Amino acid sequence: MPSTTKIDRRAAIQTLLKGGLAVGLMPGFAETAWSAIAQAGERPAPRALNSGQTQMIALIADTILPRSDTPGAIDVGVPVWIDLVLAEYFSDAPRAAFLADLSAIDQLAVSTSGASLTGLGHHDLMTVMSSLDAATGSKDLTPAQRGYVKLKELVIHGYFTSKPVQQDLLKVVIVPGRFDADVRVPASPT
Amino acid sequence: MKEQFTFDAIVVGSGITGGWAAKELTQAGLKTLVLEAGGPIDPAKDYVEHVQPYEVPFRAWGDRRLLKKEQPIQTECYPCDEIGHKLFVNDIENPYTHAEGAPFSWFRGRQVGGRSITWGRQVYRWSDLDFEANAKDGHGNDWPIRYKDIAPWYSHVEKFIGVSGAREGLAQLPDGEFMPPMPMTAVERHARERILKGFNGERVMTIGRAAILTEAHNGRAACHYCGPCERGCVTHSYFSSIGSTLPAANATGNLTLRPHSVAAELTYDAKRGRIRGVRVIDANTFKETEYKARVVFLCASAIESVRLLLNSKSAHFPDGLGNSSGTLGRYVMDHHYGSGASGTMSGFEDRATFGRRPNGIYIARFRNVSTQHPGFLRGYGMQGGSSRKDWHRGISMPGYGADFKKSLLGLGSWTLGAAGWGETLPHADNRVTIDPHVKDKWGVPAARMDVRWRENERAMQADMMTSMAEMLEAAGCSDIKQQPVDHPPGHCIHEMGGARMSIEPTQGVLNAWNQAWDVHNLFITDGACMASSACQNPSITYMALTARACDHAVNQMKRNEL
Repeated sequence: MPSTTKIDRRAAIQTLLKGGLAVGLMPGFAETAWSAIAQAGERPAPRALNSGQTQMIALIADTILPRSDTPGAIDVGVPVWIDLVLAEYFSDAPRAAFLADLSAIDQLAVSTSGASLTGLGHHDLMTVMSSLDAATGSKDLTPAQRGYVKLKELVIHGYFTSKPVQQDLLKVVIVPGRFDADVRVPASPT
Repeated sequence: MKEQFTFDAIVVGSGITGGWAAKELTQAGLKTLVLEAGGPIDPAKDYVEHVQPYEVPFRAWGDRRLLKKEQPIQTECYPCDEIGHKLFVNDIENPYTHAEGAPFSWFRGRQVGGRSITWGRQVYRWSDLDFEANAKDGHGNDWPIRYKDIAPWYSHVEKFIGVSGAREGLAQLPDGEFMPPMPMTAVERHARERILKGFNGERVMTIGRAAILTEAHNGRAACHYCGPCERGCVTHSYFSSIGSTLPAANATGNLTLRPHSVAAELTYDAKRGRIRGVRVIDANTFKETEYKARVVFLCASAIESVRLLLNSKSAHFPDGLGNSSGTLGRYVMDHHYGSGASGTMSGFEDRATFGRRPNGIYIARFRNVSTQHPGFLRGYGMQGGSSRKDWHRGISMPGYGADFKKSLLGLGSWTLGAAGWGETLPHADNRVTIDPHVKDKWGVPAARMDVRWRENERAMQADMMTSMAEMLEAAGCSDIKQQPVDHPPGHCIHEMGGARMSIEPTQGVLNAWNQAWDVHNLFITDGACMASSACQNPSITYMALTARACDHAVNQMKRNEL
């Protein structure tokens, strides 16, 4: 069972819907994250998504990459970026297909737990997420699984290419100045 | 200043070979005009290697709508993305066509420096295994040169451009004038030894030989290991004409560089049996001008140069300039590439790398070197590398939540893999012609491609996968996956042939000095001149042939033979 960190999701999502993003940030992280938020805030929001779709995407993004001792997907503006991608990167047919699959996720929540995804309690939400996530890496997908797998890709790409994560967490050095081919590091699980 | 219209030499193209022709001819004292169809490049503004994904809206995925509208073909090439797309042509302005059932990828860069800004930087000498191949198995025509003819010119080029690599003493992959090699990772060093042992020394994995500096050289700084060379390099640490040969040519005071100059036709003086000059269309004003010279070098890239010749018809050459042999446009080749295998290497979880090495490993050709493979002729080299998986692995990995995020912020397992770059046999009906119905923005008739992979290439591709999987197994990898790849011809951006060199004027377009048999003041030194493709990345061979041809032309001019 994947671990989760309990946060006030609804507060974060409400802030997002007001045109901003969640603003409670980790110590030492504020400057770059605020910069990202300020940049994201300049965009008219949302563009491809209605408010229900925005809430769903924010909730799933926050469940895949929640705030913990490091910022979560909402903290670094992932839902706003996904909205931009859907509006301007996706062409009409793939966008319509993705939104239909997103709707299938909500229908799955209703059929299995009796409420739309954003209305589920923590336990039911985790049940739906587990059934969707089990399809990661598979080829034979239901519409709901297909929508989830695509959204997971967008969430991960949006998170790890964001400025705060690149700079402060991954500590990407733009100009390393050298190549060390064999650096000893603590053995890490893979 | 009054514009000059007559020069000692004209070079068409300013990329890898055009830059070399400019350098060699100007340093020999010739007043030289370089014509470039595209615009000038200012590395300070136009190079984008340090732009980060978060600095562009789609995080380097590209503005798909714009790319699909203006660069639907170019965007299939990996550097033509949201950050680097300006270094590729507009496909609408620069159309080409292909025969039905024969897709062809033509990736092009029209700017000062051409594709030398975006090239792969891998440089491998050919050997007599390559120069003798056509003669031995009867496919294509015999080369008019052998390794001894070009070896000094390889050295000449390597000393100027700077090539990092390791000496291996392999007959089929001759060593060159190397600066220190980039280091192999712990996994690569381990694999090299296991593969050497597992295959009795026949399969040699070495570090890629790259035109990237590992130490300061000729006023250029050593590599700073930022990674994406294909987006330019403000320190000119990899070889490009704009950072190396063109500045050297300019320093002579003999260079005139004319950007925005679309070469539409070579003009022919039938009375004297010579090229008179080049008819040029200004890319911005559409004004036509003829520039004249004693000697013309075509360095526009294989297909562009052949297209220019085919578009230069006259009563004397009704089928294209220099085409008395009937071979112009034929025997077009590219490398078929990409099939291979990858696997996971355990036992190195406490090892990582720092910096982004813009280079990988190379496995020298081992097929049909000493014994004949039953399934195919010629051979292939393999290119790849090792790395630890990063956050991208999360996209195809089950999981979510705080622990999932934490794991993706750390390093994943080591992967090791490589894919083959295979030789293509020369076929007369793999060819470029002129499309009678399509013209580019400047009214120049477009190229039409008809190039197909055949049975020999297909058999080699299958062997690339199984042989790489064997090597990974010998190296100790697990979870080995074979990966078939079927790129169309052209996709490797190693297009060659179309105006091949030959021993006899009836067999080809060019003699042993890259000089047109039919018109002696015309030299073609880009990929069009190649009579076979070998399996090595070809650019350094083009450069060496260019320098050699320039030397020959200058000597002939001194003797008033041109």
